[in-house]
Amino acid sequence: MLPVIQEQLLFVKMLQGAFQTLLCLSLGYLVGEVLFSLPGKAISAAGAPLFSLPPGPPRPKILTGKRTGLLIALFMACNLLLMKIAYRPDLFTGPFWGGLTVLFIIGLALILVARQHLRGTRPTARLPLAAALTGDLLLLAVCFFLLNAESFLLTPESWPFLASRPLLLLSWNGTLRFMQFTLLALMLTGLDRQQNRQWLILGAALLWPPFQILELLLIPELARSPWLYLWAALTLLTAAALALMTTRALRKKRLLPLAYPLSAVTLLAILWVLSAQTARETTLSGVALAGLQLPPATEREPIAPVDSQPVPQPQAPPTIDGGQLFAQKCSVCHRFDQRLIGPPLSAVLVKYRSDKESLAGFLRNPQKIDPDYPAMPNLNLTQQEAEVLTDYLFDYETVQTTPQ
Amino acid sequence: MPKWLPHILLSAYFGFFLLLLATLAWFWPASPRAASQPIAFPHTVHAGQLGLSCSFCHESAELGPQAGVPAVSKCLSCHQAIATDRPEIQKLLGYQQRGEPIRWQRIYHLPDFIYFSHKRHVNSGLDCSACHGAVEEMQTVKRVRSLQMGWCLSCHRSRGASFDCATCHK
Repeated sequence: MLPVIQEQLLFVKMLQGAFQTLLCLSLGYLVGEVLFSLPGKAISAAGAPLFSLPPGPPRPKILTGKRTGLLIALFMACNLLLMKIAYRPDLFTGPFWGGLTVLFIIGLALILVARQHLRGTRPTARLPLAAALTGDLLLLAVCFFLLNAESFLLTPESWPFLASRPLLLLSWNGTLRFMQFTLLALMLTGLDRQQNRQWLILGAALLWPPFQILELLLIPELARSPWLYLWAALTLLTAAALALMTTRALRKKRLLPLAYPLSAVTLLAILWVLSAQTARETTLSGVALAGLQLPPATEREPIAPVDSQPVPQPQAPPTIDGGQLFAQKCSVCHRFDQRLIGPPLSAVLVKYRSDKESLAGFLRNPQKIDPDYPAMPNLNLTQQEAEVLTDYLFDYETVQTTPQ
Repeated sequence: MPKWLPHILLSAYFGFFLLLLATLAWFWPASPRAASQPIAFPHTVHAGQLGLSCSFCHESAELGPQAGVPAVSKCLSCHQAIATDRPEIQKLLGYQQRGEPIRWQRIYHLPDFIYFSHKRHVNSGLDCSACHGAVEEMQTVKRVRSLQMGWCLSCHRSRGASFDCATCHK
């Protein structure tokens, strides 16, 4: 895995957001355009040619054909890779990624192959139509699963259970985000310059608010933050602007200049991606992600023998500095030559000089002996730590008492 | 249709949803995951730097259904003499002098119709951080799990614990 420095993390996340926006725009356009061109090609040849484009009014800056497919695949790969780098979820096994990639490539390939037949004005045979439809549905399915996976990232507490319960991947929040993606796809399709599909933009813009509110209601509780409400309000305003400008154009039976609706839809996509990123930032804090690696009690043997200590055992003993351990754990209460909270250690060590092993035992399991002092807490020392401390204490005492 | 009608209708429609959003934001803010405590006890110092085990203070977590918080005397066992000049310790000493318990704000709170036994969960080998997160890194304790039933059930199913209704709803 590529190492990521803390300072780079913000940049990585911004990059991921940018790629996700581009992916959403390009994939949405592709999916929507194919879907909406299918009925025309199936029924009759009447109507303006769909793809053969004379140099005329500028099209949306989204290409058609092989370059689109490759570009979309590139966006998808970058998006997923950056997501993995930024959040390191260690989720989603090989089969999941493999399966998704295969489906994605098949979907793109089917569409690209069928596009050859979708060009031109002649009605298309059934096979290319079926291929295009299947490819489209495959891409939509891939988007559905990816958006559910993105929503699943918002509930880190369920990550350990995904392997045994794969259906946990699906969530209402993810489904709603998929619905929002389809609305964005519809809006992008409506930007087509060849036909007046602006009613699509209007319809999608009108449908946007209830889905946005629903998505907010269904977001995992720990992912909620005031910023989400801000992004949601901005998306509502953008959708309102889209609806207003489209209504005006529809009433005047004119096509809007491309820049306005395109920038509005782009803004909508950016805000949509931004709200997902904000939700992830809120919920994926370091303190929340700690402690997630739960070994299933039924499947594996217990890592440590039955032990009431809640602290996980160390794997291999690294070298421990006795002085550092003393400073960290003991010096709060103990000094050698004076009473602090606990007794002065020089007095204590006198008692243990003849029997050093019992000191290590006491350190691991301190008992209240002297009523004059409070109980010494059990600091959960390992055997190695106790022995190192014992050695340190006696070495220190020897140094102190050796005449200079 | 009058020229302005679509604009009014659209504005009303979107205005309604914006109002709904504002209502949501006002009445349904992010749930209080971290509350302000009467004494600013830092787990980072005690559980982190000093490495005190969770059960040193929260003794009853291993012994019974409730984990609870330590009595004032537990804090005083060290802080009778340590850092007594600090304002937070002064507050602690004030509680001792008045003989008053500290009213800690509970963060991990399950409703009354749920029976949750800490002892069973600790004894099953779960680490404290599985449900409470990395408490030793928290300056103020905050809730990091949703405590929803689905989450409890997922863990129960994965670890072979009972998921009968009466296990928890009794």
